Amino acid sequence: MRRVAILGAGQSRFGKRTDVRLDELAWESFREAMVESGVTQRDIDSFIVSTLGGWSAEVLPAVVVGEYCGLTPKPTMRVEAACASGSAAVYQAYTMIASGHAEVVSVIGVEKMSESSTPTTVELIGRAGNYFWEFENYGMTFPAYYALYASSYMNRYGATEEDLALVAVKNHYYGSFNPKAHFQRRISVDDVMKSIYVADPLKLLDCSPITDGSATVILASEESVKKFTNEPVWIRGIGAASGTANLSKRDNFLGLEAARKAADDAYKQANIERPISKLDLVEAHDCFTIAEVMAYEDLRLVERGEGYKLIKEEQTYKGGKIPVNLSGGLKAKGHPIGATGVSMIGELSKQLLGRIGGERQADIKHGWALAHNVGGTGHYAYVTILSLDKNGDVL
Amino acid sequence: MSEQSIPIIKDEKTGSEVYVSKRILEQRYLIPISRIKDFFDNLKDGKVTATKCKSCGTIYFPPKADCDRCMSSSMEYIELKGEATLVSFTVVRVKPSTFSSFADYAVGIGRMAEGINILAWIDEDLSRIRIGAKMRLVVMSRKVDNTISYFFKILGHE
Ligand SMILES: [Zn+2]
Repeated sequence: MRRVAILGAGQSRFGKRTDVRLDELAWESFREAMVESGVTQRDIDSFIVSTLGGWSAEVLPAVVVGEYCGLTPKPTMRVEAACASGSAAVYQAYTMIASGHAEVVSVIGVEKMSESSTPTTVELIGRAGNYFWEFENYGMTFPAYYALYASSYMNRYGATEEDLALVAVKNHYYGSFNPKAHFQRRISVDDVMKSIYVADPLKLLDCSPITDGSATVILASEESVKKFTNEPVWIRGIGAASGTANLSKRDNFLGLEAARKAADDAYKQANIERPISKLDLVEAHDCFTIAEVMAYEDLRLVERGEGYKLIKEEQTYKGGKIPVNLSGGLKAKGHPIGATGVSMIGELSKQLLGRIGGERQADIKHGWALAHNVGGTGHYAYVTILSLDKNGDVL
Repeated sequence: MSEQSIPIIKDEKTGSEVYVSKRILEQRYLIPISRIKDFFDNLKDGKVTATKCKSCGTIYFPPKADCDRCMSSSMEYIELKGEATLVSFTVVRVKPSTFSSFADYAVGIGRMAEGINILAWIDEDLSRIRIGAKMRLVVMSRKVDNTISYFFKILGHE
C-alpha cells in the first residue's frame, strides 16, 4: 500500500446558511482547499462527496457539487455513513490512493439542513437507526438515543448532569475563538442546566445544533505530494467499525462498541500504545455532551467510568493532559452531518502545521492528532490518525 | 409571497431571501411484513413473540425470518414471558413532527427474562421511572393513534 497525505483543507463558515445553496456552500470550502494546496481541477483524479441529505432539495449532491466546482467529468460518488459520512469519504479516498487507483482525490463534505423546517429535520434524524422497530411506533429522536446512553452512564458511574454540562462549556469556550463556528458565545454550567429538556437527562445545551456547512480536504499519494507541498500531513491510520441498527441489540449503554473497535484498529495501524502520551490533540464526536465523555473512554484516553472526571479536572482543555475539540466541536462549531468528519480531519491537519494560531492553536510536541467521528448512535465509527511524520509501517 | 409569481420570501431568522419550492411531497412507506406475519397475528391476540431458530436455537427480537448464525430460515415463534428489568430510559420532550400530537413519552430498554432486550414506551407516571425497575411487557392499544403495540408497565423497584 502507498502512503497518503493531506495536501490542503478548507471549511465554510458553519451556521444557518440560508444565504447559499448546497453547491455554493460546497464551493466555499473547496476553493479554500484548492488555494491552500495549489491543486487545480486538472490535477484531481476523482472527487467524493459526503452528504446524508433528505432535508435538502438536491437528490444527487455529488454531481451538482461537481458541476459547480468544475470537476465534471471526473468520477464521483456520494458516500453516506450518517454523521460519520465525512470520515467514510476520506477513508474511501485513502483506499483509492493507497491502492494505486488514483493520485489526487478531493473529498467534499456538505450538508444543507436548513432547507427543511426544524421539526422535519428532527424527524429525519430520529429515523436514523432502525426505522421500523424503533421509530415507527416509538418516535425516537437522535437526542433520545444518546439520552439512553447518558441515563445508563450516569446511573452506573455516578456522573451528574452538571458534569456533562462541563463539556458544553469547554466547547463553547473554544467556539468563541473560531470565526467559522456556528456558536461563538461562551456559556456557563448554569446556562446548560437552565435550558429545556430535550430528552432527559439531555437538555438543549447538551446538544449540537442543526447546521449548514461544508469542508474539503485534498489527498494525494506520496509520489504526487512533492509536486504541491513541502508540508504534507500524513494519514497514518484509519479504523472503522459498525454497530447494530437496533439500539436494543446492544449489550450495554456505557460506551460505543463501534468507536472502541475503530480506535483500537487505528492505534494498531499507527503503532500507538499510549494514546494520551502520543497525541497532541483530539477532535471528538460531541454531538451530545455524553458523546464526548464516552469518546474519552472509547479512545482509551482514560479507563471506563473515568471520562467525566477528565472534563471535571479540565484535562481536555489546552494545557491539560489531552486537548479535545479546540475547534469548538460539533457542540459549538456545529454539526453539518456530511461535512463534520472532513472538517475534523482538515482542522487537525492545520493544527499540526501550526496554522490555526491564537487561543485555539494546540502545542504540537509529538506531531500526532486523532479524529473520532461517529455516525448515528454508534451505528458507524471512524477513527483517523494524522501525523507530521510519514515514516513507520504503511497499512 | 404577495402577488408576484416568483415565490421568494425573507427567512424570518436570517433575513436572507429564499425561494419557496412549490413541490410539496407527502411520503408514506408501505413496509412488507409477509415473512414475519405471524408476529403481527400473535400481537393481535395479545401476545408478544420472538422468533427462534429451529436448527440452532437462537432467539431473535425484533423477530426475523432468517437466522444469520446458521443460515437457516426455519423459525418458530415463542411467546415472551414479559418479565423485564429496565436497563435505561429517556423521556422524549422535543418530538419528531409526526409525534407532535403526543404528550411527552418515556422510552426504555428492557432486558427480558429470555436474555434479549426490547425498546418500547414505558406506560407510567414519568417521575416514577427508575433504572433497575421490574417491568412487564404488555400488548395495548395506544389511545392517541389507536395503534396496537407492545409497551412496558412498571411493577416495582428493586
Ligand atoms: Zn440458526
